[in-house]
Amino acid sequence: MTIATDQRINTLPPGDVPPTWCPGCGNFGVLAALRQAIELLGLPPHEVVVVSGIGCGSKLPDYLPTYGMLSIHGRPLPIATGIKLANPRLTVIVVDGDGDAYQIGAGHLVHTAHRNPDITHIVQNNQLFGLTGGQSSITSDVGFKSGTTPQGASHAPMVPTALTFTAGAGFVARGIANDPALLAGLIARGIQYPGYAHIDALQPCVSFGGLNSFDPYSGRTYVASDGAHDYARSRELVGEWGERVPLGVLHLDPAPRPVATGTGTPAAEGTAHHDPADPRYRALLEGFRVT
Amino acid sequence: MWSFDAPVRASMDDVQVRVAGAVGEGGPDCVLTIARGLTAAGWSVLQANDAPAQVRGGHTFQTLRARRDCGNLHAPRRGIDILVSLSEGAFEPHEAALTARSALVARALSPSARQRLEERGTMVLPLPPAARDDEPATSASTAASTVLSLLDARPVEAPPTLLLSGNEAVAYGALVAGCRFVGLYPMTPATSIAEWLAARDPALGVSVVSVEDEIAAATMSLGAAYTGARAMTVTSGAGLALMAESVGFAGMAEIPLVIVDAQRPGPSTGMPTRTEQGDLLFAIHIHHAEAPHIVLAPGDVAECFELTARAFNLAERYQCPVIVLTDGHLATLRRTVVPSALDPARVHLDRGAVGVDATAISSDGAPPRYERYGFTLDGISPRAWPGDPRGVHTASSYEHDPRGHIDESAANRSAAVDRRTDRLELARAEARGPRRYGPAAAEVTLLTWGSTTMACREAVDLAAAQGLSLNMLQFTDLWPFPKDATWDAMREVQRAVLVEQNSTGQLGALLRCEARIEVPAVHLRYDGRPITPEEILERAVPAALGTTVDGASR
Repeated sequence: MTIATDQRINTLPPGDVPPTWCPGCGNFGVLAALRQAIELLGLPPHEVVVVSGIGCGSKLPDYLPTYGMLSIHGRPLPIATGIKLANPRLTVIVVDGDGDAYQIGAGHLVHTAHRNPDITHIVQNNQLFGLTGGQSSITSDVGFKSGTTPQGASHAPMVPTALTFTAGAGFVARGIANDPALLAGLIARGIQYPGYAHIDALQPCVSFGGLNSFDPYSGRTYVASDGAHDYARSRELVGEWGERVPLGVLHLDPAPRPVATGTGTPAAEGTAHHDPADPRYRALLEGFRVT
Repeated sequence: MWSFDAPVRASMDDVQVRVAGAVGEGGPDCVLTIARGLTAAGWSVLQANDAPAQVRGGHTFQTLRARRDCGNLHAPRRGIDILVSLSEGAFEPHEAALTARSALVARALSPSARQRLEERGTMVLPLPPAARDDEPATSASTAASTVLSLLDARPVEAPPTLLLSGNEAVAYGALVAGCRFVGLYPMTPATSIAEWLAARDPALGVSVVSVEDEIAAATMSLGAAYTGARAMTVTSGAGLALMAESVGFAGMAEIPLVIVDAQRPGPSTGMPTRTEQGDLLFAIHIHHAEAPHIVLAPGDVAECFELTARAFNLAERYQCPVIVLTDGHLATLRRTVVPSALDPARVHLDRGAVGVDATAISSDGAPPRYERYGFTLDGISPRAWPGDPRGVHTASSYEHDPRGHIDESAANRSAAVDRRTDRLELARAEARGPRRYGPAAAEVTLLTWGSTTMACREAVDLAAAQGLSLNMLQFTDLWPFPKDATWDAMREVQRAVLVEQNSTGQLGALLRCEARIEVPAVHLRYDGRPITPEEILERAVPAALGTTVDGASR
């Protein structure tokens, strides 16, 4: 069997297994957009790793013909960072949800934005916990009624783009699942961006959404920018949430910070070529010798 | 009849030096200078540390045992030959151990203290005060020179040994084994493992990445391991608790990951700079639900090197996490080791099943495809790493089919659980049984694991010198538990006592559950201070007399 190493994702079938998402789920749009972005950039599928968390949307790597990892709740960012630092030749993409990224894994979100590994982070933000039955999340709007908030959520929603911007992310964007073309473009630009790229992907839940289904967004979202604006405008856009919800590249740092790397030879290559008989290791014993 | 009398040392060829002072006064540097000086003079040395969890002040002391004849030496013994008091009054907690044969190196003494020491017959040597109060190192180095000249230690041409700590041996073992990634959240007493690796030549390419918490330390290392890098994280008990979910994930997704837990007294913050062996059963039962993993415990500095290197092989051969248990005593203890014990040539890499080959590709008529989690004969499928065009698959925390896709079918679930856990029997079959030290048959056998091994060996040597019949069994491979080898080793045991640095006898629980062996006699210590050879001989051994081990004669 010969295997083409310059394979394009569009030459491959959709995947081994069909998605288990509800009909009309926004996850389909995110999946289509991600596939399209990989195709757009001509990335060989075997050099792409998609790491997810836990939740409906995090089943996504199962439906892509790339390397994938369905990891644990809230932890895909440090896992993806480890993958990227150990093998920088890989394109590493995180797809998780608001529960993963903005709630249980919020500490990792801040640190990853600050650490700046070259990974792309797509958060399927449906403003609730879907797979567990529609409970409110940190991004739920005020008044959102659910099993855990029968009187309606009382707290104001977190605006995650403001958080990653403040933490130092150089690329902050927002897309929406019912506009896969826009989202694909944002993902492609995020992958090309050298550093941590945060894409908040609005992806309303058709089963438990209530206030958060697609309808409430109509008339509110607008494509605000392609990133060609100054820092002051970035600050306005990343924090804007309410009557108007900006889409597009909300912040593109004109002077990106250094990208996180490992030390010396990448770890995967280092281990692959490791030889304990290399005299450098024996020489290190001299450091323990007392003279 | 069992009768042990602590021997009186007859010469200054086997000496014990103690350096006492406040934290920040240079005690560790002082004792290191003495240890290095004696090592350079061809002595064998062993240095143990006692320190409170503070950066300045308080009371700390280091104990150094040294033998001019370079003979066996496993643990400090009772008594002090030379005591260095770096600050006024620092010697007082140790005064009772001084004798007419001892020397005290001290700064200003009160008249009453001077009189007490004269009555005891202890020789007092003056230690000049530091030139400036903010330079305590000056008197520390003066004290070290005084001790070295007292012992008449002169450098020899080629010192035969190396001097290093348990943590340094773990770090060196990991490096020689090909570890290239360490996710780290600092936690005493494990941190210096990562610091040693971070300080090596960048050309060796070990990435030590300081992260936001222990969960990130474990998951980032796990991510690196998924790409084929050998990866490790190091922590202590509370950090291991935060890593528990990652250990389960690594077992589920079959990702090799090495975790070093340098145990300390807990739970919670406990006593950060002190020692305990309280995490054994936690390390073994760390999972929610069931997944494969391996637990090892080195008992001395050389074993820290050997077992850490071995942990990487086991992790890759069985595609599961391996936990290496050390503790505060072993982590910070420094001793001379013969170079052959750390010889990189002793490390052979076994990366387990790797690569996409014909056996990993299905032949059911469908297009040939790689199965990362295929049902092979031994349940272990070859790994493929991202970047390999033939190996594309999904690693999953969900129950999954051979390709890695979510599969909740009843048949797949049962088969997948078996596939993951069957490997534990393979690992058990190659697990090392308890290692004996001392005569093949003895009146009493000490049963131990981890750093208490050192005090037990010293006790066996002390007993032998007095013609007493004592030996010991040290368990290094704790999970999967080597049942058969344990039964073999226990068959000869007449009376036994568990010697452990915890309050419940966790090795005893393991012997009871895994091997159905009941050891009634226990000697347990959990005050954060290492067990001593003398207390083993004076209290542990007598506790075993008149008891019988139940179940060992099967």
